[in-house]
Amino acid sequence: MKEYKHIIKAENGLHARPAGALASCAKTFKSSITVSALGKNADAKRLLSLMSLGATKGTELHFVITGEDEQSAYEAIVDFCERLGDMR
Amino acid sequence: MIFSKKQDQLLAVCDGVSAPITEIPDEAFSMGLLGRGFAQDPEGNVFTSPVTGKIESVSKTKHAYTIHTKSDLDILVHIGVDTVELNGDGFEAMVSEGQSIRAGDTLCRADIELIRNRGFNPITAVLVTNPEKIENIAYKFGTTRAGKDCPMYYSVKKG
Repeated sequence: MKEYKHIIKAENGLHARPAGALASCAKTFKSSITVSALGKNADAKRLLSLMSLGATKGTELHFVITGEDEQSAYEAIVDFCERLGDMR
Repeated sequence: MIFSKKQDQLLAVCDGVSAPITEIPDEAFSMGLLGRGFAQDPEGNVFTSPVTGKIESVSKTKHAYTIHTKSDLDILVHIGVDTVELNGDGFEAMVSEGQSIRAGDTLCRADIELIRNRGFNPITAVLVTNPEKIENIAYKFGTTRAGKDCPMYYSVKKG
């Protein structure tokens, strides 16, 4: 199991476009990837689930990645979060 | 093709003109990155649900609504391009998270004039965000009335 925490810097938070990009990224891995924020849990592979978190700028996302490709999934999630700040 | 079940269609969410998703000037939508669906250029201010289901989320900025159906489809209604930046101005949600909704019931009111005057395009995306669950997709584009016309038909994959 791998864990990663990220505080959202993007001005508009995890709205449709970045949430869609995150779901697309997460779907390429076999591992289960969950995101917790604001007391809710989401399946990172489901756009609707991610949007229901209501994560805005300043919200902390807590990723938990479990599965055979968790190392590469972890690296991709970290990379995604680092780019999220530049995403509109 | 036979479309027998009522759930197997997405209803128009507003009065206006329906068009291919590629008409939306935002790659996340036009390239299909967020799912399969259609675009609508709204003429009225009332937006309705394209399906019967449960409201899974209402964005804080009231411009995006997600609905989960009994057949396990994830539906997104996203009003306008980059309208997240309006921060709720011009939008009034008529539903809340967790409530049930029927196809054609009102989701929200949006002031299309205000959206245009603030420099945003109100073109709306109606998407199935888990398109791997559907097949036999067919579209019928043109003038649409909210809750009455069907720009998109599909069947839900079995199993």
